[in-house]
Amino acid sequence: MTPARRRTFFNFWLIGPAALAIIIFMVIPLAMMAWISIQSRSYGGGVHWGELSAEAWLRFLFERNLDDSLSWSVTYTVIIIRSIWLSLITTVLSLLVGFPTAFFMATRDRKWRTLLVFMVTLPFWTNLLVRNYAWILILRDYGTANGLLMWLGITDQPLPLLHNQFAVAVGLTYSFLPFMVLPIYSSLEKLDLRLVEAGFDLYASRWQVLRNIIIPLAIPGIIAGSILVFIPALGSYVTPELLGGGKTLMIGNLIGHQFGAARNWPFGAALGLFLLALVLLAMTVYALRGRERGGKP
Amino acid sequence: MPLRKPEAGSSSANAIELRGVGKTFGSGAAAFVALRDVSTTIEQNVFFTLLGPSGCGKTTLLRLIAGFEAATTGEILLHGKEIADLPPYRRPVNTVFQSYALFPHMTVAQNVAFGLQMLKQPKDEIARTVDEMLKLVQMEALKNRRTSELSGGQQQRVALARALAPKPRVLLLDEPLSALDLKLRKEMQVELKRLQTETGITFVFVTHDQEEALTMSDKVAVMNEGQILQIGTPREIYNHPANRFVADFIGDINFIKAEIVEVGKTRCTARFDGNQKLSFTPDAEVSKGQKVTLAVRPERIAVANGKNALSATLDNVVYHGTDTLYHFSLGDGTRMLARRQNSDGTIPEWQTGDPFGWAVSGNAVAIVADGPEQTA
Ligand SMILES: Nc1ncnc2c1ncn2[C@@H]1O[C@H](COP(=O)(O)OP(=O)(O)O)[C@@H](O)[C@H]1O
Ligand SMILES: [Mg+2]
Repeated sequence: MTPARRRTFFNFWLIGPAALAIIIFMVIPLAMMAWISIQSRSYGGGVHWGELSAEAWLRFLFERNLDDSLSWSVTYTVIIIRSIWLSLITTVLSLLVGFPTAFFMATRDRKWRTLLVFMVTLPFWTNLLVRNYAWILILRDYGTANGLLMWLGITDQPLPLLHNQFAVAVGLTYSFLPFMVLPIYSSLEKLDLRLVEAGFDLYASRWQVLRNIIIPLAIPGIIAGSILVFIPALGSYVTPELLGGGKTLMIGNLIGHQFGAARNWPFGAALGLFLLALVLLAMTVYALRGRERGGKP
Repeated sequence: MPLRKPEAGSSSANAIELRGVGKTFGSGAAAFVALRDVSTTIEQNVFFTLLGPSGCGKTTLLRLIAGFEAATTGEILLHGKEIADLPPYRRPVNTVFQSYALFPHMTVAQNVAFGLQMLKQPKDEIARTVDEMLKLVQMEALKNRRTSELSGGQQQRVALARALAPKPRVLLLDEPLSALDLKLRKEMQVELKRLQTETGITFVFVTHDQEEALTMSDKVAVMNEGQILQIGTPREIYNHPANRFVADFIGDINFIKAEIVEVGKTRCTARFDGNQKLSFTPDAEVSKGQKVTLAVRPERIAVANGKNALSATLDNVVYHGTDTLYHFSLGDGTRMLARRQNSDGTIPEWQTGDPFGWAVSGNAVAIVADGPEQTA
């Protein structure tokens, strides 16, 4: 073998295991999903292998009437838009709560910061289901929140806090808040305090320093945090299932239903691929923005 | 609103007045006194330099004036007004930071415009001032560059332009030249001095480089361990150092332990090194029998051969291009240094242990106190 050939040979063996893992755990399952999504469904669950059908993809926008004709339907579009909407709300809420939290953490004494970071990650030590059940206890009629409101005399009967979009947004925000706090914290912690002082020196008030210096310099953390919250929120399953009522289905729940009760594997697979495409789109926008930023003179 | 224009009637001649300013960091056992009882007046329109070794409290003093830190004791007056209650963004002073602290997310022009925008000046006026400032520091060509793409010297210029743009009445500069290489530093020294004279802004300049302090300043305050040891013109500080620390910190100097043996009308005689005698004009009150430390700059020592020459032993001769340095020792072991300019081009033959004759003119001797007591 020539040296060049030998190198290719060894390179092949070096990347081999990783490539194999990617093929087994990513490429094949994705290909299977894509394949399933264009099979015709079997009503008992599963698919009729080999019987190609566009039914699953048509279902996004149409429903089939009894006479087999297609008519336009918004049922699933509504769920998709609601998912995006709730994920955006979650991202904004996380940002509103997360930025001040991260700012507070980053401006503490060094010895406190480690402890605070630990405390932010603490909820992860508890099971997601348990955390969502805890929110049920807080939000239900005569639960903690309503109890407090009534005890304070702000209302005299329970407010509908559970089984609606509000409950889902609160639950999602709570679940993914650390993903927002940590990246912002890390960019704020790196921030050179002398820049803040330079701002004050140049007649900027506290608010102006925050707006013109601190926030612009924390943008990488804010964007990373937003992506990290938006993506898992978009695919969330447990929180809308438990905290949302029947009217707050999100894509994740829809997918779950297709593989469960509805026994519509092709549609489930198509929805799964669609979710993946949404996530890829979000990531691409982020990556392009990053490149634009980096390349600017 | 920031007080930017001197109000009628408050035209005090002093830009800054420090009255017994002290600063203690921490408390209890961890308390650290960074400044103690600093008092001085800085007149308007002067180039005032704080000179001292690293860690002596220079930056702390600037931060107190700028408002980033609050004084533990004493008061700071700016144009005759106590400013303790003013936050930094209300003080009509600007700072050139040691690290420059340019905003990395803005261009050169945006950096310079920042202070003006915060002062809500009209857009066209801001644009005009920015151009004017960039021209002043010769950075017009790089107006739209990101600050991260600039060299150290260029960043320094931008920092200067940014601090000058709001036309502050006092400019604080914290070792602005220390990160530059020698050649650039020399250029910027001249530049800064020119800027100060042209703009008429009071400069409070911090450095640990004694040469920089001597060449640029109208007034120098020498600091050590949180105290001001001496304030004076560069000549006063150099020729009449108030104490040993100041003498030693600024340039090379010889210390000779001596006893005053004779006091005349204008001159006195001191005995040192056993029985050698030196007659000079004292720059302080002396009395017969007083033990003193005499300070003599190396360049004021002449190589002499006559019978009046003082005696010593040669240790080493070092050729330095423009100068030759003579290291010699007195009989009691005191090590001395003389510096002669190589104006005639001859270099003497010598051997360690040769006798060395020297002389000092009467006005070249200063009496210095041993302790670092304040003698402002
Ligand atoms: N925030 C602070 N907390 C505690 N000590 C400080 C602080 N800032 C400065 N010091 C101490 O005060 C002394 C003077 O510091 P500084 O004014 O920066 O000196 P210089 O600028 O003359 O080098 C140093 O010993 C430094 O460690
Ligand atoms: Mg310093």
